Amino acid sequence: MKEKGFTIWFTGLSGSGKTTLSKRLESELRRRGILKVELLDGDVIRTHLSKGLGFSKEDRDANIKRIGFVCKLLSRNGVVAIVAAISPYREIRDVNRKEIGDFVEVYCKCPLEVCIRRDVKGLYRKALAGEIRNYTGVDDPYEDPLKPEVTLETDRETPEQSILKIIQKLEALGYLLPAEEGVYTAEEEEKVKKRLEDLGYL
Amino acid sequence: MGLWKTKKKKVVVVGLDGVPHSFIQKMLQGGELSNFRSLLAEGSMTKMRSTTPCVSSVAWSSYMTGRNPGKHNIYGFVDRDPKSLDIYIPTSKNMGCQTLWESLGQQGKRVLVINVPLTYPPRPVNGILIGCFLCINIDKVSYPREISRTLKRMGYRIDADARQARENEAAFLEDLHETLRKRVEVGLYLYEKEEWDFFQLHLMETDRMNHFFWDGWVEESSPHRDVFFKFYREVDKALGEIVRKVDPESELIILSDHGFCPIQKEVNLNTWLREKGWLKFEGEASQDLKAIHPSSRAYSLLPGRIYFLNEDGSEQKGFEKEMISSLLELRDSPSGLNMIQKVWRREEIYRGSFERNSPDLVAVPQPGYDLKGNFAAREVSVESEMKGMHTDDDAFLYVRNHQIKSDQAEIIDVYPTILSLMKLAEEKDVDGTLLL
Repeated sequence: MKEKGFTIWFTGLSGSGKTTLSKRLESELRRRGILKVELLDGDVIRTHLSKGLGFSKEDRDANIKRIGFVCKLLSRNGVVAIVAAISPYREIRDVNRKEIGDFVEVYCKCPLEVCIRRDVKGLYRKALAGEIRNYTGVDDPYEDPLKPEVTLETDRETPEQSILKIIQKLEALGYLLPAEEGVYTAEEEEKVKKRLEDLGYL
Repeated sequence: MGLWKTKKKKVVVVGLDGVPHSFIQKMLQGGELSNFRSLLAEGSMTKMRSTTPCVSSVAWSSYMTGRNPGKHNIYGFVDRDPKSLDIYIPTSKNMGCQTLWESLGQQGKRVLVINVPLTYPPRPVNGILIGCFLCINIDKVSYPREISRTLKRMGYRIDADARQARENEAAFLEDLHETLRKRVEVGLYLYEKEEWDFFQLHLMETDRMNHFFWDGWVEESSPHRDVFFKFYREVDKALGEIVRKVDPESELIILSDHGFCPIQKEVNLNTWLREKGWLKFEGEASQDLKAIHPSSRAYSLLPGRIYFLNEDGSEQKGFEKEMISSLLELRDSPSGLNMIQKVWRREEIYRGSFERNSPDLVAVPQPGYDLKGNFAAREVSVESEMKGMHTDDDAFLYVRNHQIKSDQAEIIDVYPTILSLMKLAEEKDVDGTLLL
């Protein structure tokens, strides 16, 4: 494992699976022995770091910039920062990518109809009824990433498949040691089994 | 005014794997272990309970995390994926929570940790960590990896070759002594050379000796009597060399992880499950869990871990009850002695986010009956090639300069005790309790 931290940025429509997958990824990283992990969830951030900001383009950009700034601090201090935020505008995501450097963009791709059907928070219903304004996907745009490191099709994949895709990409990028290299080669595994057998432990 | 800068608290821990409390006391009564004896005048020692099951991988994992297996996810030297039934060797990669040395590192303490079971592959620490006998390749045993060069130069051995114990006793003993000598030599070298706040040296050789030569302790006429005592004099000598380095202001802890007793029989629980009709194989019985017939209801991994198959709801409760009473009735023949003293249900002993990986039941044997996981054995109870087996209530803990207050110490309690000795804050979800 590299000593330095990095940022994994989940982007996608509300209801596309960002929160669920980011939590799962956090557990998976901890299971692999990466203990310095910080999960920054957009909804939580808006009640603390970005309290008072609204949903105009200006406010949304400020929110995403703030999260990016925190990620930069965490990443450079050896922490793996995981962000789950709609972050609808491409330009500002790319600013964060440039600022942070070690940046892995994970696009939770999911058709709007599916997200509306899921409507976990009941906000699509309100937006469609005109009760709330500037709702991404309804009356505010979502700009797809052009070159995300990982694209997850969350309406077609199981969460396990999605997590595996991310882990494999992190291994390929050198942020994680491939498990087989990190523990045993096939020959070593045979030897350790023999050792345990000789001790009566198998 | 008082001191504005307190002296840095250093802690030294020496692990003696599988050395029983009752054994030390008897050795001392017999005039042995002179270095240990002089330590007793300066501190306190108590009998200590191990973990369930009482194997080194589980016990040291609970030591180094202060948490029960439901939180650290290590239940034995072998485990299976609950869904795929793939068998794997649990390593530090499977450990689900932070270790003592990782926690100390985060609080700015430098650590030097050598050979504690379940520290392979070596996870990064603030300092140096040399992994345990689960490592085969010396190039991969340490963090940072560069330390391996020093280890090779000094002739360090990760573990003695246990196969030799059966094939060539003299060669095994030579190997065991050399492995011990090199371990202590490397330990003392790094002790002097490196900066650290927490130092731990683990001696695995005592466990190896006890497994293969415990008869040398319990039988006066045993042919292993001399080699057994000679070995423990070396261990005491090594202990003396380490202790003489530790300055009087530093904290010193010596402990083991489980006790030992002579083996009467090995008990093949899977053979018993097959006899009861609860375990069947498609074809020949083998170690491959995927070859288990779908109509099977349970299987076992050593020691005494029992997993249900295809059971849920009220049916499982009934089966569980039947299984527990059947286990408690399991008798040796021809003596008719009970072989199981207690059966734990998962929910009685494991809690945490890795509880789902835990066995459904854990059988604790009567001393002398070593529970095995062999699937193909013909007989339930058989003679063993080994001489000693683990016990769960006879580990020991020694702390210098402090009185151990609890008379019900458990290995899981050492973690919060060390944090307290280092004047560090308690951690919230630790399961152990302070012993001082």
